[in-house]
Amino acid sequence: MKGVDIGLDALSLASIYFLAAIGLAVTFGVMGVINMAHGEFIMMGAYTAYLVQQIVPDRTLSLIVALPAAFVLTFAAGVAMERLVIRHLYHRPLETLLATFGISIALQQLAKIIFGTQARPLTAPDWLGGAWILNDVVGISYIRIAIFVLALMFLGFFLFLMKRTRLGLETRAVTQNPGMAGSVGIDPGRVNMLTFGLGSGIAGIAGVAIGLYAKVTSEMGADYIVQSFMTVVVGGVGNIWGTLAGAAMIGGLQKGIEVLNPSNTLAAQTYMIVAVIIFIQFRPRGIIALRGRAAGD
Amino acid sequence: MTGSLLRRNPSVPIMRGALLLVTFLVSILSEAAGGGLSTSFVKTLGMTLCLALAALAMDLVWGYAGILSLGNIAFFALGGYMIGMWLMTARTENIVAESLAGSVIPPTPAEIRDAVGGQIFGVVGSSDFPLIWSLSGSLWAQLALVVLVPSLLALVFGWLAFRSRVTGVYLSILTQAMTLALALYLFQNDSGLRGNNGLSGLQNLPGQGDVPQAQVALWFLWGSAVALGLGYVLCAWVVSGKFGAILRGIRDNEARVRFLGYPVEGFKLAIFTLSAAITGIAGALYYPQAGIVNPAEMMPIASIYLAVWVAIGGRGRLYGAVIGAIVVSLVSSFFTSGQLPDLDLGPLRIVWVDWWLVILGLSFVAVTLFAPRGLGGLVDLWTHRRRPSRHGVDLGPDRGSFREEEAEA
Repeated sequence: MKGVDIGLDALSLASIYFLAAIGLAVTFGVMGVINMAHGEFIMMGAYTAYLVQQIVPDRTLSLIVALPAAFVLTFAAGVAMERLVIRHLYHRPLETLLATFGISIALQQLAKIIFGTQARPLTAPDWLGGAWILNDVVGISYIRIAIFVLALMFLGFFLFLMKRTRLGLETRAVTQNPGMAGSVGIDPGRVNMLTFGLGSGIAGIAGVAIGLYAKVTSEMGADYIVQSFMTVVVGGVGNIWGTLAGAAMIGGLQKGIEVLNPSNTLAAQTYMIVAVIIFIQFRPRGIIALRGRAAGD
Repeated sequence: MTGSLLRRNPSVPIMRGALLLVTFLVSILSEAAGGGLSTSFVKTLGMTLCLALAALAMDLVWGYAGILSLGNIAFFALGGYMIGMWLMTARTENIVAESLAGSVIPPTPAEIRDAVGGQIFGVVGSSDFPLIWSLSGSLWAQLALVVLVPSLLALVFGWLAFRSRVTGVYLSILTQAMTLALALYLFQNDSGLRGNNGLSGLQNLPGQGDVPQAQVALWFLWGSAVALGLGYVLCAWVVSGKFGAILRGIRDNEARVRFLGYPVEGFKLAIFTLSAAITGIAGALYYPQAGIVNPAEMMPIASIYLAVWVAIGGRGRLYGAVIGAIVVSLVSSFFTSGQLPDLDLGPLRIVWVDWWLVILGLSFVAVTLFAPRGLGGLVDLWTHRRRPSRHGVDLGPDRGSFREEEAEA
């Protein structure tokens, strides 16, 4: 029974990591752009939900409004960032890392100035408030189930988008060979802009979910950024199933280590990161490595 | 040999002269010498010199070898921790010995040791010296550890990372993960380094209780200036000559250097370890002036600062790193000191202490976009050194091949 409980905990942690990382799976995994401000998009989504909740008192309704609002806002922010900054740095990945880190610092501090340093409450609707209790040991709060469902929905959405839509096809074409894609009539600039906006928008929605589960602070994005990147890298860049596997591995590892040494989540995180660093020694390209031409370099 | 070193690096004598001049001026103007410069300003200057040394080490790995290490701040803090262990132990020992000296029965060394442990580790609910403190009584041992611990960490981590050919942004993220792991580990109370309290009271030198802080600040300024001067010469020597040429080769095209038969991993490991050692020394000089070292120093935002300084100063040139670190940290301490009056823009009130980080972040973006050569690019304007402009359409199949304008010229 204890094992089931830990399994559920690990699953829910994995789905949070997956949710935080899925936007990155688009921008970093597919496009190869390092966006260190990804965490701040998560934060923007959460603050949007908080603001909506101040205006719309009904919890359920406010959540329904907040999800598209967060998407639109972070989509716009992502597009603006791609047009103004990232577009000029496509061939210089290290500079992209630094420039987006600069943006991340600025956004974080702006949030601190606007909303203050104390955590803002983001209350879940009542129907998400309770917990699903199987017996004395095994129980899981509805909010964690919702996050799990949301993660599954995103996975389905991502697969549909990449494999079944025109935009997905064009995105894959542009990332594999921008010159060739351009010569068959695809506008690489426009595709890059939309894809980046989409990845950012997904981060915004993830931010709403994470805000419901954790506290909304200006630093909440920074808490997830390193883990998110590790999720994508461990899983294997450019493959959504890899990201899923990476999230499962990182979430499972962290919970597993916590079981050995309960009461100490800090140590668990430390050992998890060390384990990941060692893991990358053996599979530098991640759990699911791309092969052949798609692997690039 | 020295002659050719100076010829290749005309910035070495300039830098040493500037250091000497600044240190001399500050020394005669400082409070300790009866001048008007406040002790806190002297300390800020001394710390800035340490940061410049750390930036120099960062430039060595990033500007010359192309390894954007976000782990250097961890080496910096580790250096501070190592010297801090001795400072805390020795000073607490003096205090405890004084207070116990008055007792009827003279205390045994074991009693003193226990009392010191209780003093230092009381905040984390312990009183025993952890294993890693076993050398903390000896200054020389801890000074050796200042260099050894960061180097060893860099050696092990670098060996693992370079061996499996982790490069570019992946390496950056991995070093960032290493820093985060170390910070999270040190945040625990039972890590043996006082958890999130960190080591404090480092500004008080043991056995020098009657020396005023003004004098201590001056000593550290001299120490930092000497360290920066020596570090600069060492770095200039390392990056000139064949070793430096291979490093730049690795930065520009790693595969090509490997195919030419050079052991790329060995070179990277050597420069990474050297950089860690220099950064450790810089940290050991910095934190006694700052007075406190804690794991918050290593949070992700801090690790990027080193890169910011080097990028703003201009990477790939040693004086760029020094200029960048000095300019940014002095401007930063000016903005955050609260000397600047708030700006009132109607509904918006600009408090510079808060807005400084926003400005820093955005100016960093601007430097990356518009002035990739940083402040050091100004020197190029002066010396009329220009690089060929490589904007325009590719003429060849490869990136970096000659472009339109060059073909016409």
